[in-house]
Amino acid sequence: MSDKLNDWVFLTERTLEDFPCRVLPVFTPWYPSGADLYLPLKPKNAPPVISSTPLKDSGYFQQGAEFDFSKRDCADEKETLTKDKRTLVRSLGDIFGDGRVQFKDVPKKCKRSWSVFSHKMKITERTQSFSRQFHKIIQRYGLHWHQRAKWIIFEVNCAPRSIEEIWSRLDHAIKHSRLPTCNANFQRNLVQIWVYCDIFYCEYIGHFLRQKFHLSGEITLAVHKLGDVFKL
Amino acid sequence: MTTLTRQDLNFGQVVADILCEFLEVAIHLILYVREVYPSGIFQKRKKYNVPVQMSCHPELNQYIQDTLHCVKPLIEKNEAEKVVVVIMDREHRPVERFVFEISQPPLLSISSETLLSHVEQLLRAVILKISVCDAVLDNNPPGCTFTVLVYTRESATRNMEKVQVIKDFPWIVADEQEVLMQEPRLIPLKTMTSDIVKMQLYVEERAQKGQRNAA
Repeated sequence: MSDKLNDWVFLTERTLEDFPCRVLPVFTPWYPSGADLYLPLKPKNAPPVISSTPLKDSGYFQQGAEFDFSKRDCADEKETLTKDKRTLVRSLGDIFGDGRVQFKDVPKKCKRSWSVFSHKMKITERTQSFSRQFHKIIQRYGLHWHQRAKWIIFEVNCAPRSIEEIWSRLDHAIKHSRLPTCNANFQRNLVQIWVYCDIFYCEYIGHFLRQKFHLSGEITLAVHKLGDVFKL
Repeated sequence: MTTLTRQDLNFGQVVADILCEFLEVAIHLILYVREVYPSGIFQKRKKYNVPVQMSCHPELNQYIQDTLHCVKPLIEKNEAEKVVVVIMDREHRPVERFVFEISQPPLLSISSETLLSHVEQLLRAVILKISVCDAVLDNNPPGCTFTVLVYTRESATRNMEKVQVIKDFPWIVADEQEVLMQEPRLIPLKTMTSDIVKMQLYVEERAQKGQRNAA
């Protein structure tokens, strides 16, 4: 009888004991995996920085947003965009590609007819001012900042100097990075100098040409397919 | 159906060609979709029969091409485990990591009629996923830049020589702070399984992109 009682007491004590607490193993996630222990390789050089600040600073950012490909449902817009991109491709090609090759390949004796903006130097002068008149032109024709336009310098603009002299001074200015985004072409058969540049720098470049080279009369800004859009 | 080893028909090279071509398209598209570069530098092209955005900026294109040219030998020898496109904020801390995990079978069971067209279909699906991934990702802070990381199956220093293919394009071992991301959100995008390569693409996204990562 007493044994039974002892058993009951023992059982009761056991029942009243705290449940053993199982220590949970530390959770080790599968991620990151063991392979991540090795640090990866990466190129030492950083990728190029292509700033979009001209679009943002200009106050025409909404117009810039028009060229955003995320608006995929508008067919007309797509066409505009494609045209714009083509222009950009051509301009980049002019700056970095064909222009440079031609620049190198021209023999010394041959009269140079192309000049390409060098990216080696920083632009120190202020280039971002626009007149109200030029703003209106940009709005009227829906021009994009990266769209290429061309200033045409005629022989009459150069008087009393010769157009060859103006060309050599222009070539020097472009090579010394004083005319951003510019590449120029001397159309000797037409006796004209064509100065290509981005719309963003157009007005600055127009003033630079007029003032530094003491051009007389009006110089004309032409845009592909639109023709003459502005005179200075 | 034929069973080939990796040495037969120089299959490693074929796989590397296919993958590097795909990665080039994918990197361009990621940079466009995640707005690392201004949209003005991108142009619409067609690849794998779907529209993609490719940069037309020569310096950027050259950079991507050089990077992949160096990665190719590692993929060819099945030594690259992951290729990661890391988007970093102004302080060079990662905000997003597009991880391409690559696995190649040691034995290649191929049938010529299904091989390339099937792979192309699968790669197309991955590209389509990248093109819509902005819907599941938060906006990145302004001024982001990118880098490409290559995780090797063995220690990176062992593979350093293999990756130094171009003289003027040196490679280094990445810093830990460029690699580690605290409490990332994992967003699986796509997996693909073909006869020649298996790949899974996922994004690791920093929880609070606007704030500095406490690494």
